[in-house]
Amino acid sequence: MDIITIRDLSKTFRVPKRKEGLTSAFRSLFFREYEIKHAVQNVSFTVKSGEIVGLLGPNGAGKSTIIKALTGILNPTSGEVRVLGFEPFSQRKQYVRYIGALFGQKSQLWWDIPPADSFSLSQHLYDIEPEEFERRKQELVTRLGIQDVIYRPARNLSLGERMKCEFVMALLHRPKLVFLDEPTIGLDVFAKQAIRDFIHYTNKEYGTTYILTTHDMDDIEHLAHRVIVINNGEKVFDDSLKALREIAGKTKHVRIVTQEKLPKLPKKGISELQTISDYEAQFVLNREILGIRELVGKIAQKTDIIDLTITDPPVEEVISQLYKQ
Amino acid sequence: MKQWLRLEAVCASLALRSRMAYRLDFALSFTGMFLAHLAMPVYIVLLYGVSQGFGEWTLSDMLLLTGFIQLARGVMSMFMSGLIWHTNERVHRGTFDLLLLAPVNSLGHLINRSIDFEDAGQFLSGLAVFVIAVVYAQISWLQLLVLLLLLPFAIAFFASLFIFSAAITVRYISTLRLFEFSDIAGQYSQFPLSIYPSLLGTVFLTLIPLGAAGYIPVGVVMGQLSTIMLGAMIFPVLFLAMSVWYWQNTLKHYTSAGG
Repeated sequence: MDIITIRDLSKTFRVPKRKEGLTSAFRSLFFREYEIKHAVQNVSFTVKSGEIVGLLGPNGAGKSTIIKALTGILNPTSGEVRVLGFEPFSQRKQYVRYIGALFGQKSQLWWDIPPADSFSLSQHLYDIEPEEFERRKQELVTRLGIQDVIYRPARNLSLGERMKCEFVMALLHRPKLVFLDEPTIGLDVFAKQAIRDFIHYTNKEYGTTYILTTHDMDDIEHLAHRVIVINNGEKVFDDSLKALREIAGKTKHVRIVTQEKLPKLPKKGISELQTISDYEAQFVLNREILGIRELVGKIAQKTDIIDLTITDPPVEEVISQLYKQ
Repeated sequence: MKQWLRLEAVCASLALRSRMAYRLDFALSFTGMFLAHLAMPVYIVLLYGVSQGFGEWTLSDMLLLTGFIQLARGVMSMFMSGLIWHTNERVHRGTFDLLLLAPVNSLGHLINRSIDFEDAGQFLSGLAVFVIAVVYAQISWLQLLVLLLLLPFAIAFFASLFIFSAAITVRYISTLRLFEFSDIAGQYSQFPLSIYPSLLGTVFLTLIPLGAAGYIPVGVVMGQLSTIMLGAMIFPVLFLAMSVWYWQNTLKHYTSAGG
């Protein structure tokens, strides 16, 4: 069952612009010029109940604007948005009772008091019975392993601890649909893993639907059932993770450090070669032409490999490959 | 309303706990606010010691006018003075978005979140001045009751100023000094409207109804004005309704910070 339907969603902003310099700043006090920025243009998609959908795209692509239109924060310029049977902006007050949201760089916690105190606000905002509230709080807190953390002032918590508390705050009212805007930004690998496990748990246990925006391909790899790529305000890809991997997975970024002087690398399958020193280089490997095993074998025949890092291409590169197709 | 009051109590409790984290700052702010707002009545007493004062208005009338306004501003400040600061900060940082995700009226919830106990100093000084003025003026219980019944109109006027300011902040971003305009309106209201040119006096009765903040209630109760003037108490109600409408309209134009 579709719980989100977006048809031809567009959002434009009127943004002031001026040239650099003091004279221009003074001039803009009296004669301000504006430009129209099309943050989102004719985007359409649907989301089924229980799905985890990743919204992927570079900075300024329009991902957050879509999330804000879906949560009822922004009034769309045109198009139709229906979520859980509501029109989010005009029915915001009734609608937001059924959703949760977490913005990686914006905190819902009160800064100077322990998160346990902040949680009590959710109890009253969503009219949760005290026993039920206590039961849910204990479940979420235990699942995230923050039993002691919630009694320390929020300002004294690490980013990872704070983010886990933000999750509790966002999920205490047991929303059917949760929007996550860069939930793992700045977190270490352990915190990222704990949060990904938690998302999986709530998705399986309660059928919670997640819409997730991120720059982190690992988040997408670990969580998303489906991926929507947004670029310049337009939808450029909407398919399974497998389909995206087929596009993005053709290339890998490789950094290699050798014991002795780096041997001559094969020309076929390697591009954007940067020689950092006699012993270290980085390049883009096209796996369709040259496999990783084959590459490593060729180098290992001539010298020992001290360090080898293989990473996915950045989002921008994936999108550029999407365009090339 | 019941839920709003419950949330107000929860937020008041959380705000108090937050404020207690910095005890010295809290104590200094509280004391500073208390003392700063005693200046006006002292000034009135000194003025009447060396001059005729404000025409027909006696020292008792003026002290009661000051006390009434200080009490209204004190109540309003404690519950709403944070409205402009909070809105400005939230709009700037983008956390205003989070407020819109609460399943309650956005303005009501913003007022919930804006409670600030350092402004309790202003409330207590307002209460103290009002009690002293009531005793000094020797008004009857009936006069006191009428004044207290008219107090919500005065509070509505000051609340409207804050709601307009907060809405303008959401629309135009970074208009923090609007707070001072609200403050100036409060200061102008502390004198009888009869001292202003007639056009300005009419504006202060109708368009920006600061006359309702003290001049009309105290003037009628103390016999300086006809009871017909109480009809003008409709203007702060209209002013409040306009401010709420402007707030709702502003949300349609909210652009949110960031992507």
